[in-house]
Amino acid sequence: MIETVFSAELPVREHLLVQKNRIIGADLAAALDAAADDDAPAAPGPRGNVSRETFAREEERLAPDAGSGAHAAPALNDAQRALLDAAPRLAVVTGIHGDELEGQYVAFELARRLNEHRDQVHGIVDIYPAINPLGINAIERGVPGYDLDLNRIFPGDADGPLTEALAAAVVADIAGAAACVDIHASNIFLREMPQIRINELSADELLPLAPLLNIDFVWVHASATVLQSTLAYALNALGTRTLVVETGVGMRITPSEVMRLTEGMLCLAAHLGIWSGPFEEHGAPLISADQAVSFLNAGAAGVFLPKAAHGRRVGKGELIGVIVDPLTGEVRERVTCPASGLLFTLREYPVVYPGSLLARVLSE
Amino acid sequence: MRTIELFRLETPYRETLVVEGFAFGPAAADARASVAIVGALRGNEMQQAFICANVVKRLRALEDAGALADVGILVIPVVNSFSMNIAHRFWPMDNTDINRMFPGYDAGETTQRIAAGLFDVIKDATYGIQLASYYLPGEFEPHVRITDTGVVDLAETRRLADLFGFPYALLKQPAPFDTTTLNYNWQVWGVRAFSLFSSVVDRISAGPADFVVDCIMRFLEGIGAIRPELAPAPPADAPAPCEAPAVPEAPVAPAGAQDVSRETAGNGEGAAPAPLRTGMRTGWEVSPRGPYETAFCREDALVNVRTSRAGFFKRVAAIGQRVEEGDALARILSTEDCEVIETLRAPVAGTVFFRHEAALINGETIAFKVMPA
Repeated sequence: MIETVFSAELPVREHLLVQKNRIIGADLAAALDAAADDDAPAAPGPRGNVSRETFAREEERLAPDAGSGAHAAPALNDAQRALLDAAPRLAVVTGIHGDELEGQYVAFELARRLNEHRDQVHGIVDIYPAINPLGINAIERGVPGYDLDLNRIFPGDADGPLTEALAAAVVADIAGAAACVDIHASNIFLREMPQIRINELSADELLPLAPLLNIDFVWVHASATVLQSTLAYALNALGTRTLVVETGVGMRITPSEVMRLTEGMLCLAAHLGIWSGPFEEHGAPLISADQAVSFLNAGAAGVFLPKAAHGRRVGKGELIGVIVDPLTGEVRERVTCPASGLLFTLREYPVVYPGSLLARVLSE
Repeated sequence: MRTIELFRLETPYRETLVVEGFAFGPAAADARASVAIVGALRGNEMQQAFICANVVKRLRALEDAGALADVGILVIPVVNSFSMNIAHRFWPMDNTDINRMFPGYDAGETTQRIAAGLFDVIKDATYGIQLASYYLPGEFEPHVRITDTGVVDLAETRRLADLFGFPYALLKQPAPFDTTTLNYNWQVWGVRAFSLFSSVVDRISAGPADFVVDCIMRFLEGIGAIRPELAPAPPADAPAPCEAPAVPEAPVAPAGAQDVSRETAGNGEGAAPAPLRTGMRTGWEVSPRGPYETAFCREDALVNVRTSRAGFFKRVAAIGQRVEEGDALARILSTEDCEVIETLRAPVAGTVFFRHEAALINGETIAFKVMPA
């Protein structure tokens, strides 16, 4: 069932809508239907939506604003609300950055699998495919019209400008979930192997969950104050365990990796007791701290031509790529590997300035 | 005046980026104190670059007249020329913001390197002045802003902020993303740092620019960097003093008016929000505005006025205008038939401090900030 998490009117016949797909297991839906007649409905619930039957009745009764495109949360009685609150809930979030699309496939495939097997869902899976819908629509990383990175303003402010009010609504909606996964896709410049990034402050809570997601490695990074503005930090600070996935490359979908990740979502859901259907396990990931990661930045300006294969092991001194000058025909820089290890990040976008990140290597 | 190359970056397909500063007064080793004044870190900060360029012009005249004292002054009108030249706000390649990269990292990504190159030169200044812009697009009552990092001596900072003669000084509690700004890192390095906000950003508004230039000159005089007794008369080609329009008496627009573009009140450039100080200390004020008795306030004292509807944004109240509780600040008109669908009213009596600028406005966002009286 589609619910609206945040809605704001735009100037000309449109709303900015942040929506989620709430998928409720068959057993919980049956319990909600059974509880429907317990007493009169109370006010619309903060996280409404129950079974298809209940929702259809409520949708008709509430007759949401035809112009808004929003789906109002149905009214729930106390018994129904108690059932929903007690049910385990997994939140899958993506599309905070409008140029990252890998998570779109995960959202689709996960919803498809769960919808086909509601009988194997035990609880709630909330899928939020587009936290920044205008950015995805306009192929902009930030929020169009505001020129800011949405993942630098969490936990937001309900009384603040539109972007902060949106962020606050998203946090309020997800808070209390058994776990949350925030799927990112690097950006248009870098290709990443499937990985999870964990702030060292949350490592104890998150490291037991991370290997379930079928990623290649887990990067436990140092705490940086600026990262306190991310969705993951805001939710972890509220006690909602939130994992950040980075995979693939911006503006593209890499089917093999996102299918693996979808299986990982089911694995995590199974761990939380929300899924009893089948799933594939990929194997244990590498777990690493900052000290083991080497950064390779461009020393010259030009066009970067990679010579090493992404996702493979590289040896110390091995050629990673060259930076060339199309005007003169000269090679400006030969980029070699400072240490042997796993080439988990490789530049995808060819044009580089001095300082542009070219690669990251996880040392052996 | 000495032109100093601060940072150089080779670039693909364009000329080398060279960030330059203009130095006045003695070199660092011989100076009693030093001031760094930074203009456009973002490509759309035209007003901020314009203000800095005017400061350079004034300082050059003072230097020629022998009116500069033993304080080193470095002015950097434009850092992000690469973006300014192609009408981008942030860095052209990856849209990163140099003012989210401080203190910088000389072996890091490109904008980290630019921030590091700049910061290395200005981190040891005694005083730091940044011509800043806000992340919400709109117009501001000109003010000086101080970030309360917890390391700043507030009494000393207030005394120094008062030297500018702005009508307001705001004390800002830093959010996590502020920790990578120039102002925050200046303070961490022990620099007495101030962010100056003019009324506009991506266009030149000469009167408010002159006012901020005057504020900077007053500050420089206040710290002893200028010897006013030796200052020459304003140059003959100085812009004509801007007239300070009277505060509108009846800032009320006709409901449902068809002419959305027409302002019914003053444009905010020059409306006087506070009593003037008595006496001009330098004789250099081109603008008749100021100096003011500075009112010190915490940023969270500002009262937000939010929209619920979206449409054409028809402004009623001007920046700097005194309003009473319930006064109309703006009207939102339907984009289909120009009917008024929402009237934004002042939630408290006070001064209009921030105003949304664009012709259209969204629902669920901030249109005004009012400084309570």
